[in-house]
Amino acid sequence: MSEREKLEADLLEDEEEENEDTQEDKYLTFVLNKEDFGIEIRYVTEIIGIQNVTEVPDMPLYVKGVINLRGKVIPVMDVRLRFGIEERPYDDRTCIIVINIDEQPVGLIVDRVLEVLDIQKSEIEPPPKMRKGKNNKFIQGMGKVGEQVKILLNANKLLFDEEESA
Amino acid sequence: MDSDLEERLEMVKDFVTESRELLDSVEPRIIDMERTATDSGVVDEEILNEVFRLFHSLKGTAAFLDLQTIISVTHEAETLLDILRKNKAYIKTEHVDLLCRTSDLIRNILDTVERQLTDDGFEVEAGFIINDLRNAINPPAELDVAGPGILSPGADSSAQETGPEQEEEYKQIESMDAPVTATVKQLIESVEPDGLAEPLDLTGMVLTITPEMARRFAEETQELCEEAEMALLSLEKTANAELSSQVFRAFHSIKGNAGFFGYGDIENLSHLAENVLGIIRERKQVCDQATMPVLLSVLDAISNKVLGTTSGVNQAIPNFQQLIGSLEKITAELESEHEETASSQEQDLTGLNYSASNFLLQSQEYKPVAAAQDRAVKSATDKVLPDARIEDPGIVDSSILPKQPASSNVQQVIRVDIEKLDKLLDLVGELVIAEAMVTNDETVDISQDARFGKAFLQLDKISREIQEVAMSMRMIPLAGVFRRMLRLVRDLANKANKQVELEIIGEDTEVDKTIIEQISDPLVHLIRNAVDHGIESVAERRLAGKPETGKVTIEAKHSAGEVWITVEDDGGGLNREKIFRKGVEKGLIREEDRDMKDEDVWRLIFEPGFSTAEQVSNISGRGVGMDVVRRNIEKLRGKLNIRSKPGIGTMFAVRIPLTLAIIEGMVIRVGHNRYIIPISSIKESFRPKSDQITCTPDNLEIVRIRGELLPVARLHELYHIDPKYKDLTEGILIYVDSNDNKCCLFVDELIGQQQIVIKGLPAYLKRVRGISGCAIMGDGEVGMIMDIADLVSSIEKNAS
Repeated sequence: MSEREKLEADLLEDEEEENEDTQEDKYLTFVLNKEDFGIEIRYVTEIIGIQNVTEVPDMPLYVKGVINLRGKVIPVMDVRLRFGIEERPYDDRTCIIVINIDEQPVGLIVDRVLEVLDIQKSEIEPPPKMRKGKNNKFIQGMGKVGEQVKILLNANKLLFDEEESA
Repeated sequence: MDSDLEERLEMVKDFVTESRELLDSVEPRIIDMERTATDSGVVDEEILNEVFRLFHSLKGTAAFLDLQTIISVTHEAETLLDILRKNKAYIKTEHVDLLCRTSDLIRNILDTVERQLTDDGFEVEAGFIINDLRNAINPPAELDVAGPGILSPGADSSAQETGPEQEEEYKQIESMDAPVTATVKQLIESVEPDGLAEPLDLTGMVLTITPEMARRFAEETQELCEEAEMALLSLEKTANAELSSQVFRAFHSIKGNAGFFGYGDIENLSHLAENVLGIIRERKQVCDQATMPVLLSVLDAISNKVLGTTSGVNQAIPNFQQLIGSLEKITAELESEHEETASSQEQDLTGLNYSASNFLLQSQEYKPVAAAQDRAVKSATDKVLPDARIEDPGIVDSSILPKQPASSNVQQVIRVDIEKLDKLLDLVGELVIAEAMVTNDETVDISQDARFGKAFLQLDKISREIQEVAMSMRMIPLAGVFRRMLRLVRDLANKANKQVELEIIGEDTEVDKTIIEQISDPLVHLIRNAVDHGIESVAERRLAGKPETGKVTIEAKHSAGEVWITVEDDGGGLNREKIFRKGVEKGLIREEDRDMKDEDVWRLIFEPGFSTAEQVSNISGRGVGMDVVRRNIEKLRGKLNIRSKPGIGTMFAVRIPLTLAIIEGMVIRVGHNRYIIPISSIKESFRPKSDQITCTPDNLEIVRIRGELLPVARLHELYHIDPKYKDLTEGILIYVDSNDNKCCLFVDELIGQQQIVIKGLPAYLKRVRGISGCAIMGDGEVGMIMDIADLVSSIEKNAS
């Protein structure tokens, strides 16, 4: 391909990404320990009510085990424990948000699921610079929605960052 | 690279769909052409243009994807149409037929393109059509002759041109066209003495070698070559009439098939080889040192050439003349020692044509050509083969038939898309789960209602059978892969000047198709290493008091849901010092790690670029082989175990999980958790009495059962679960054994036996001690499947 063609292709790709149903800038918000969090909707495949989790030995504390999702076995993580916050007994509002990164589905157990919100990049502040505690690495940014602030999480780090937080 | 492939896949899919649509619109128009043509053959110009354009588009898109066969065929059709269009020529029925045939051929090709992304394998058939199209493309003058189906002089002369040379050509065929005209001519001669009747139409009817056939020819010939090779290798050591007959038959079949397809060179080679074998068989000899390499080379040459034809290449056999010369020389030598060969050969030919003619007779169309081939074979080989036999295999007396080797079987075979098979297997798995859910449903009590119980048993029985059949569909015995190693070992041993023999155990073990494809390379590397590095030279072995001939054993067996494939040699074993030092040199380990376990030292050899060979030989020593082995095995989600003892030998064991495994599992409970133990690992279960249990000062519990002393593994301790029972005499002990890793597992209770569909653990979870996978239980929850071997070793690790 000539230089010019390559350039055109690149531009087209960029455009496409933007036009793609724009899953960009959309976040699924949920509640954890009375704070509002958000995660990019493009990673979310489904949301289900809490169900029985089968324990798996040898896992970090925050990996509660696996569940049967329509015939597929999916690992689930308790996000509270991931953040080192105290566990809370599951009730009928507790949900599992199933996200999929790199073809690996993982369920996130959260207190309550709220709604899908549009948060423009201009409304997102970078994560706080002050390092207090180890959970900051999971924060991608702070989103301002009206009067409220939603803590936007980095799905990748949430799933794969190795440092033990519990 | 993958995205390139994906892109091509996309393009091909689009192309196929688009082309099919094009063909769909072309065909009715072609018929229209015929319909609307006036009696003298004038065609509606518009329709003609349209059809032309459609073929032209086909050609264009095919060119974009580089599908040569489609391009050439459409080009010829286009040319024909162009002539018709330019000259406002007269269309004939035969033209329409031709165009329709072209369209059909292209459809067939499209089907294949859809699957394999290329249009290989259609060269023969395409050749025929192109020929016909060319014959139909004539100077306009000829077309003035009215009436359908009249042969133009052009075509006639082309048939006649090759006439006198036809016999010659038939013997030395390198091009595709020759057999067409040759056999047509013979056919014409037999049917129409004046040679002017409608050969074109006959061509269409008789000589349709479908791509299926061409491919099967290639496959069958290769199988025959492999068979012959193996029998030959055995013949080297023992004189056995059965073996020599086998080789003879193989060559004979190859000769027959090759003749039909017009591969004169293969035909000739096989004919001469057949002669040699005939003599050997007659005299009940072994295949001596001089003859063996020649015959093996002939097999190689044939196999390679046939391999080439599947990708559309008809190349000349490189050392053809040499091989012919050697074969003739050997024959002469053998014959000069003994007289009669011909007569006994004749007899056995009766039954021996069976496989060749059976192959040909899959479709009734071929009868006339078979007869023609027969005559051609006769002229080429000077043997008398009665016609009657070929046309009616039913005549062949089964008592005459020598035992047919397994691979040239007469079974009906059908091609199935692997995706369909996969889908079927998935569904079967879900059937098992669903069935378990029904059985375990609390509202259903099978024991109460006898009729329901019976019905359910029936359901169970049938679904088990479905499972077995479904799984067996994708399974192929390892025999094919293993046997190819015989030749490898022989060649390697010769090159390295060592004496090595290969022992094969368990070749009937069946594994999934994907495993067969992936296991071949690693096997080759492992065997190469065994022969090149493992087995010592004859002198060294003598010094060590070992038999001069080294032994390499490959074995395959099923064990606990896995397939074990081992390569073992009785050579010098791995050199721990050398490997350790090399590892330190490469920075993979440190000097202080000197005391690391043997198995960990052995694993170092899998690092890329790792080799302790002082000299890099042609065969090995570059440090590439083992890396490939490891990667391929990883691809199959397998594991590799290595054992080695200096002076005694080395063993590599590859363990691969069966992909969709439905196993019998025993569900047990510890605390709130349920685990599944493969039944195959369980020896027995019991509740121990206190006098059976001994406790060592280290707090290791030993239980005595039937005179054996076994360690007790408390699962709740291992997995940090709160159990119901802590006292051994209150719970259940399960005596498990996995490849001589024995112990007794302490659990709360046995829940019951169940059929389990194994699902791999999600990748996210990485490795879990003692767990090989998970399963969906009858009540919809997930159960962990235990890996006994791993469990025992991790317990041992914990203890130490």
